[in-house]
Amino acid sequence: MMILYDYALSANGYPVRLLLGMLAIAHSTHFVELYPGRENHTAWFRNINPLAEVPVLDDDGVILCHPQAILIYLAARYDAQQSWYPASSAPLLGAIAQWLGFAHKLSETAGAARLHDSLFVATDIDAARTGAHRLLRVLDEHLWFAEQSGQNWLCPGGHPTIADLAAFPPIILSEEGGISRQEYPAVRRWCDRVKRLPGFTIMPGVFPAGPAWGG
Amino acid sequence: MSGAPDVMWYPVAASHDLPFRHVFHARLLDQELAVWRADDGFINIWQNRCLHRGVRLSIGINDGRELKCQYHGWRYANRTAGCTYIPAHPDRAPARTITNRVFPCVERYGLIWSALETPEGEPASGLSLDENPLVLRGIAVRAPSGTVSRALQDFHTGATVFVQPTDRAGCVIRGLISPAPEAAKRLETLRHYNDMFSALRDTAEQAA
Amino acid sequence: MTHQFCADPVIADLWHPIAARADIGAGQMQETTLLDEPLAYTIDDAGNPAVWRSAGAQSLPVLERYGYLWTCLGNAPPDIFPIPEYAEPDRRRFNAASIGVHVSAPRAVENFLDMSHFPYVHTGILGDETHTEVKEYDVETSTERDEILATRCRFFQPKPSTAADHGVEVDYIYRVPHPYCAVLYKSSVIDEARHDVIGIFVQPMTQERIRAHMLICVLDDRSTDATIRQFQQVVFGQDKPILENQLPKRLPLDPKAESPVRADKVSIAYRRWLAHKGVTYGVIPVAA
Repeated sequence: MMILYDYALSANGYPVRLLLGMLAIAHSTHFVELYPGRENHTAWFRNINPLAEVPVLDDDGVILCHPQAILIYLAARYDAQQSWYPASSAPLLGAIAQWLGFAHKLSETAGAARLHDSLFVATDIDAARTGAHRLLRVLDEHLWFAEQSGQNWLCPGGHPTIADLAAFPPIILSEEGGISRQEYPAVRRWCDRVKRLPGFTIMPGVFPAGPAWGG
Repeated sequence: MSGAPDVMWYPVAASHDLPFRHVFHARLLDQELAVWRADDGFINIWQNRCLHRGVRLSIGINDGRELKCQYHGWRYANRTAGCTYIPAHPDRAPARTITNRVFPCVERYGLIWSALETPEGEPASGLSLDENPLVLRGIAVRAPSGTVSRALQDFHTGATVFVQPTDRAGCVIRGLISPAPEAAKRLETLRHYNDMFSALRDTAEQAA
Repeated sequence: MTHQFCADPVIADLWHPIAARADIGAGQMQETTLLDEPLAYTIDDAGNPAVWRSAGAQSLPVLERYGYLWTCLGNAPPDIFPIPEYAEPDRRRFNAASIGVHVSAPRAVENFLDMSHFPYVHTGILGDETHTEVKEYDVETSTERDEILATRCRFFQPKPSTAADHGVEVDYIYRVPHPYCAVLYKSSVIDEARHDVIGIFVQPMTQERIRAHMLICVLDDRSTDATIRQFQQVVFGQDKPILENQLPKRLPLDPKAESPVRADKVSIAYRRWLAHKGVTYGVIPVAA
């Protein structure tokens, strides 16, 4: 049975939880209490991940740390449609990698602001918020023009990819770090679209969207 | 333009900002607004706080007929803005006084216009515009609307530009191209003005 | 360096929590803010806590209660409100978490006292949409004990606690013994005659920013400490975006400012109690 080492309030674990839900992959979760228990710093966990971070995936001996690595593995191995991480398309793989890099910057800025404001983790809070707004501005422009071309996701091609899942958590939780999304209407619409993906799951801090069908 | 700002029409969103079952978060002259289109096409512009305990309606759920607040599930009806259902007391009709403050709404030229108090006349009257111009991307600027309006006067853009004052320190530049360019030129026109107004924004923000 | 002294004497003359003792390493100094003032605190090698103003290093009174350090910036009352259950040796007692939220202390207290949000904010845990009705309950504002008590509160909960393995109708008692603290007594699934005790002790960092400390004092013979904490952290994490999206951030005390219904009886009493006390910090007082 696949094991996910995770923590309920972890924004880094969330993209993995999202993909596991969307691909309906059976797994068990071993909760590692980051706060206040600092269980990630215990010897047994450092043995699994010397960087003392969650999430970690153990798929029958394949052990991966870092959310993006886990996303790539799960998509490559378990996505029968091969749309979350289409290994056959070099341009798409490049685009996904670019936006995974962008998502990482969002974690370092908006994610750091959230940890600072909620759990008092030391950071340069002004730099974190300014950095997050700069990224959100770039993202809003990108998504707006994507919409104008009939595209709904970070990368072209008509399907969401793991890049969307990687970017979503720091964005949807941005208000916890004092970062409002009011000035980014295209980002707000994209967040609704992510929430409506089949198999979407919430985490504390995230509201479900209403359905977008019927009438 | 003459008249007090409170009684003037301003664009607060573009029509394309209101896709199916979305709630748009707008700001006008320090007033937060929740803007949503019902399934029957009617556009509601409401004060952005649930009357119960003040939670923003812009995070609520638009189910096509009602807006549901995330906190206690209170529901408010399309058009009337009245509360229709209070789950904590499911067998009682909510008091009629529980009705959201609404703001006027006109959808014209691909923009959604509103005001803090209903002005006389129509938005952008006196301008001869095509009914279906090309609506440019709205550019949020963290500089006062007066500063941005003055900076725009120096531009001969070929666009009809409106400046929406969101609060004392910010605004949104909303432009139209009338008549709309041919389809083949649409994207490059959008890019061109996006880049132009973004550059103006960067200059205004550095000075602010 | 100037510092703003809290201009609200009612709030200044109270003990306020500033940290969970378990979060302070031996000999470690930590900093925080209380009522707009920067403070520092430590536990010395002998285990004694000390608190002082960061500006000027002026020493402040300190008490340790319920696993927290409490201090006072004004005239300290003789003691902090009692919670007799805390002394019962078979209870699981610890801080679930100390979490920062962008909202005023009274808004956070009021959210803690509210049941009608359970089906919407804590879906599948503390409530579900098939049971949304809040039945009539009783509220008493006691002048002699200087606290508010809400009794006969009942609500159906799919997963009321870590000790529960199925849904039950839970009995609740809410108690507000301090403008910024509330205690919940919920019927234990292990022993019908006793209650799980959960407290929210809100540290007012500023008028619109808090650190919420959550006391767990429950009966549970099967779950680990971390599991119990996780349950509480998830529940509070679900409340956070609601609190951070409330406007205004300060609690309006004018009864006409917002539209309560019968289910809000305890919050109506709470707002009236704060107004009667003359609280001005973290609230929008009734216009004169």
